Amino acid sequence: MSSRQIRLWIVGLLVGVLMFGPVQIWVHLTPAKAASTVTLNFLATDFPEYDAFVAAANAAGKPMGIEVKKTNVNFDDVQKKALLDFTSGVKTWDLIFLNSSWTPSFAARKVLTPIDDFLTTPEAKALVNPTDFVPATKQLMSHGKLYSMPYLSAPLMVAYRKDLFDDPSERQAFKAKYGYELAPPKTYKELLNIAKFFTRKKGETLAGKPLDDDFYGNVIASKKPFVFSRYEHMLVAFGADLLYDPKTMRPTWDSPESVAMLKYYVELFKTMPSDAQTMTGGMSARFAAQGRAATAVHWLDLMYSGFEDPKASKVVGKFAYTLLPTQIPSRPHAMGADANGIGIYALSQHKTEAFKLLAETLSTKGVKDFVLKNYPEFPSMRVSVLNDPGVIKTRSGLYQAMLMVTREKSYLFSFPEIKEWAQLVDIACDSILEASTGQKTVEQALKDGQKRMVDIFKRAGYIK
Amino acid sequence: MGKLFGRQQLFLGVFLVPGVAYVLVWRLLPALYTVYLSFMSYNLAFDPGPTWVGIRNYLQLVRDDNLLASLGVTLKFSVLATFVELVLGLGTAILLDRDLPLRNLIMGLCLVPMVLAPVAVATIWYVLLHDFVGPIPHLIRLIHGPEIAWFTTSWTALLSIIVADVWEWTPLMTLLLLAALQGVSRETVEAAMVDGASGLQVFRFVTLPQITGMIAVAVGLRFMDAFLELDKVLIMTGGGPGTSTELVSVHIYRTAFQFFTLGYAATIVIAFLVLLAVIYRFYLRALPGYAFSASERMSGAGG
Repeated sequence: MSSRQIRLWIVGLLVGVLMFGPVQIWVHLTPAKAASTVTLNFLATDFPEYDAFVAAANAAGKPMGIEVKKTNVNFDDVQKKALLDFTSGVKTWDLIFLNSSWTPSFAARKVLTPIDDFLTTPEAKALVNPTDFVPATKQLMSHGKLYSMPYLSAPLMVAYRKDLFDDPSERQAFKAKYGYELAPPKTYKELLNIAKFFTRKKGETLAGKPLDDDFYGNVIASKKPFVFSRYEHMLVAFGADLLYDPKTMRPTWDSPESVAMLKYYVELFKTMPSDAQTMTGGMSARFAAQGRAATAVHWLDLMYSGFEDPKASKVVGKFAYTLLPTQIPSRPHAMGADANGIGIYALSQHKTEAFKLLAETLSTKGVKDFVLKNYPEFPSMRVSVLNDPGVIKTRSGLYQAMLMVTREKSYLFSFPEIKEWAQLVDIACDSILEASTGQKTVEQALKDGQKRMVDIFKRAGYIK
Repeated sequence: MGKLFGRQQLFLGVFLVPGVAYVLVWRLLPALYTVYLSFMSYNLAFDPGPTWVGIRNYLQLVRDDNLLASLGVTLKFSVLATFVELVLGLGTAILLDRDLPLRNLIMGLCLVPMVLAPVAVATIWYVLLHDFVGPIPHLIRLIHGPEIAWFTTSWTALLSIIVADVWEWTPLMTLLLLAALQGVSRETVEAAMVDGASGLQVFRFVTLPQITGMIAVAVGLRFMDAFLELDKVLIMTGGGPGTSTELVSVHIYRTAFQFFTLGYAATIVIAFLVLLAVIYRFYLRALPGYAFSASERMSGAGG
């Protein structure tokens, strides 16, 4: 063997060790796992409710030899990632977190396998028990098929500082100014009055004490695109269409109702912190949890978990909740049915196991145990769990607020299923923020937005 | 094979394979796919695949008022950020070109922002300028300065992104210009000083002409890079208030990944690629003493 050949062998060996050595070391260092355990990869977001699901699923899955591993991405990146991965043929995922607003696109692209496809046996049907789901479940359906196991559905509500509302000096001052008692708002006009009344500068007094910082009457996440997921409820409450008339397929963003609504929001925006337009939902809840706002409009479960967390909140036990106000009597407490589910990825290699685990963990019994033992504040989508005497007995503030939703007559609306929806929402956000921040008048902002929406509808062929 | 092509050619071929493969697979193919997509209608969220629409996307470009508005914002951002970075970078480079005590330490510290992830830079400046938790507004309040809501008005929001960009990229400008300054012949500088030239005159007539080439490259690089800015805008302002900080890159990102209209997003990418290439070509042609191509350099043209 020549010296040249020896050198070549040495180089070859080195390359081999460098390439395969780490793999061998990793194999030896990885703890041995039961050969029969199936790991389900869950694409989700960093919400505590989903960590709780993973814990419950792993407990339920242990006897079945199934475990769940969760990967977190930003809320609005889940849809993006699922669509891109599906298009590229990525087979990594088994379970996917689904917000109801993504149902149309996931159904159109067949990213998820419908739950109905698994309901082939009486046992499976009994375990899933579709008749036990709350009405908001329809938001997780498309063309009659259920695309994810309903998990949680919390209403958008108004939170108000009960301690301030009960304060005699504040009550007296409010009555003197507005001529009626300070009480949870029933109309949008009342919400605005309350927000204006409590907006105070540093040094002024609040409930008899001088303020160290500015205090705000209201806080709503107004960062794009989050602003619209709150605004749309108010828009419907004001009698407007959700951006277009489904009969004529013509945008109605500059309708008189829409103008009235945006004028209202501009006024309400003045009672919010100056950087509300950069706030996400979480940021707005944290702001209110610091005792800086008298009212907030946000998802009930997220407000509740934020306000009642003694580690992060200065207002534990001080917030109470009420339904979204009413503007026109024919649409009382108008609210959109928002829901979240967990779906089975169409390219999963473990669909049967994924269904088995979902059905077991989210069965009526599974959810009831979950609420009673692990997560008393969980906004379940099981009717029987919401009405369960044991659950009601926990008398948590969240359940009391949720019961308010079921008892009061509310105008429930659904979200449109057109593929240009994201573009329409984007334009709507621009108009809202342009008017709120004074860049344009309300009329101009809506007129410009309307023009852009009409262009999109023309391009899509809905109108000429 | 060895006999057919000769040993040297074989080796040359083998060594060229990775480079050629890289250019083809990671550079050329995605670019060609983008060109292909620009003639298609493809909504990633709803369509099973792309469908041919000819030049419809290109016709839409000229009617897209928002795109034109974002181009205006991008130009404003790019010009201002690049200009400030050039001025500060040149100043810092001149300072570091001297025998300062702890020069290497200072230089190392100056480079830190450049090696941070853009997302980290954006988060740092978002917190620093935040109305309620930010130390900068707090300090301004302490000295009874004006109340500035950085992310609330159009011009302060754009300014905040420029500030973050200047903080991140001035070090690159410094590094490039320092390298150029260190290549300036000391003899010519000393000769000019012996002839009685002032410091300013030496800089204007001796140093500056020798670093013009590097300034051109640095400005060109930064200007083009500013067109790609995305992370800071998304994190700090989200393109707002309204659309006042929506740069072209943000517009493309939203078109592709928020509206999922991949075909139209590809069209915007191609249009801006062409636009940037044209701008850069004119820019290089306009530079004194810059030879545009190898043949021009050989013949002494271009200057």
